[in-house]
Amino acid sequence: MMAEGAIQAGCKFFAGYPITPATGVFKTMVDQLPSSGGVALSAPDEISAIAYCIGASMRGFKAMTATSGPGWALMIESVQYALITETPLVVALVQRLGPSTGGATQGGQGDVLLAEFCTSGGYTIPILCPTTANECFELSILAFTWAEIFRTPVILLSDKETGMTIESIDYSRLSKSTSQNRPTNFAFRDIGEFKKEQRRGTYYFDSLHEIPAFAPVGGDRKVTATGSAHDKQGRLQKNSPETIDVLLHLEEKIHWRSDDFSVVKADLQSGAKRLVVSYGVTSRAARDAVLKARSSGRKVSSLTIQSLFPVPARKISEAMEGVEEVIVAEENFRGLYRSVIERHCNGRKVRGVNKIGGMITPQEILSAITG
Amino acid sequence: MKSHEIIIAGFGGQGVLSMGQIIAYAAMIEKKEASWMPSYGPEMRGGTANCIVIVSESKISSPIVSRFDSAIVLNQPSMEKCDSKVKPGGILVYEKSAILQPPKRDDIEVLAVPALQEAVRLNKKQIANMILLGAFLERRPIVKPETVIEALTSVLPERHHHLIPLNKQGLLLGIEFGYSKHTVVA
Repeated sequence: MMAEGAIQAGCKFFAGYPITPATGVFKTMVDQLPSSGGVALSAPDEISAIAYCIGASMRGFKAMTATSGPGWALMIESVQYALITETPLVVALVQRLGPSTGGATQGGQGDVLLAEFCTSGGYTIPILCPTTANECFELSILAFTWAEIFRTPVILLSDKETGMTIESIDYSRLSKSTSQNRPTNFAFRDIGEFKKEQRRGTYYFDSLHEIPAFAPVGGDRKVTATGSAHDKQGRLQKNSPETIDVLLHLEEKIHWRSDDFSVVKADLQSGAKRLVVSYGVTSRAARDAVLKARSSGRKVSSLTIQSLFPVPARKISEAMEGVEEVIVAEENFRGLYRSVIERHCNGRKVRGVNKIGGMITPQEILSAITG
Repeated sequence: MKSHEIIIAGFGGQGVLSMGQIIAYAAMIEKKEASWMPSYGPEMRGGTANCIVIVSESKISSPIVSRFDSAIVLNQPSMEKCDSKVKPGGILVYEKSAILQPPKRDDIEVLAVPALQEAVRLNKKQIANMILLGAFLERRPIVKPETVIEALTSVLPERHHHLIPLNKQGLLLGIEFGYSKHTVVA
């Protein structure tokens, strides 16, 4: 469904290297993308796969690759290149049990921080995290929208259980909101938040948060792309005020819009003293647990975070109103995302439900709610 | 039927995952909600494999559950794992030739099916899983046999479509076997 969402979003280029549990995305793209007028390639390795995608995107095509933990480790260098060259790109990262080759056919939610903090400099990379087949489709479209209009790599972070489970969905009810109806590949040309001037370089902005106009390689303007620190025209420069501005801009364009990046599903109950926070496949167990707890008369709220980064701080704070204890359920042993949102909990008690090597069951979350 | 949770477990190559897929697709054809979650080792054949299938009248939240309404077991290691996870009143169907220690529970229905033996008799070992599936569906009619046959076209790759009649034969054999056991367990 991630692949089908990508095609619906208008993705025209896919390159990947097969890896369980992301092979489903690879296979669907190879099967279906060509008939939608796109190109799908099997690359010799993950480094080439992502580099092909960056090239296609620089030429003006919406591009995506898909991998799992070990492949992601190889892609990290190139993701940074996409980030500094402001190249739109979607990476579907289907998590499995780590570290290293880990458990090829076992699930996990252990790449959350590796995905987010993979850049030197600690830049924010938007991460979307689907919980169901429906959401794989819809968040895939959203990932493309964000990648395109903010000129950034976006990670679609799922897990083995979400990526490989087959489930029934109603195609007719899937959102068609951001389909191929966009007039160009690059919607920001139409949102009018900057002055487009032909003579200016492809990285030009007035204030730090502005998104520069995209010019394709091979188009009518000169385009310089470099992984080195550069000025607004893409020329390599060291420590000039303009270069530092470009580096600050890379973060500010995301940070300034943090609230636009907030996607959560809140199921709040008034008077609830406990809030269960979860993401990905664990949210489905959490939903079951919360419903069971309520049916036995307990008051409990639930928050599913779909946009893990930038952290949807305002929506988390809203969900925490009146709550005394926060329970964060995730399939890793250290409580990776818990460590991120703890600072937004304002001194409330924070507990984790953690496990590796198998999914967290509704019963395990229920015990935490009632315990 | 509100929601029916099934675990199917055995070795890779026994048709464990496809059996689950067939149930899930058949449920979908019958406009029920379905989820199929595979779990297997890195080996293609010989490793352990299982899948959890949920068929429901309403939306399914968690694809994983801790206790099952039904279990279909194809090897001894899986028997040891699944035996205790069947809810009281549930059913445990197993491949007779693969199980050395049959389950001892008396609060569930237990059905030993000589599926492999029957399949070998037909000279088609690979339909043993359909015989098991038929026997199971006879006892727990979660989906109709007609839709199971229909589902085969989605689950089997096209190059195997010529085997659909054979699979149908296996399914019917299983159904007959399940039916013949009615008096024993009633």
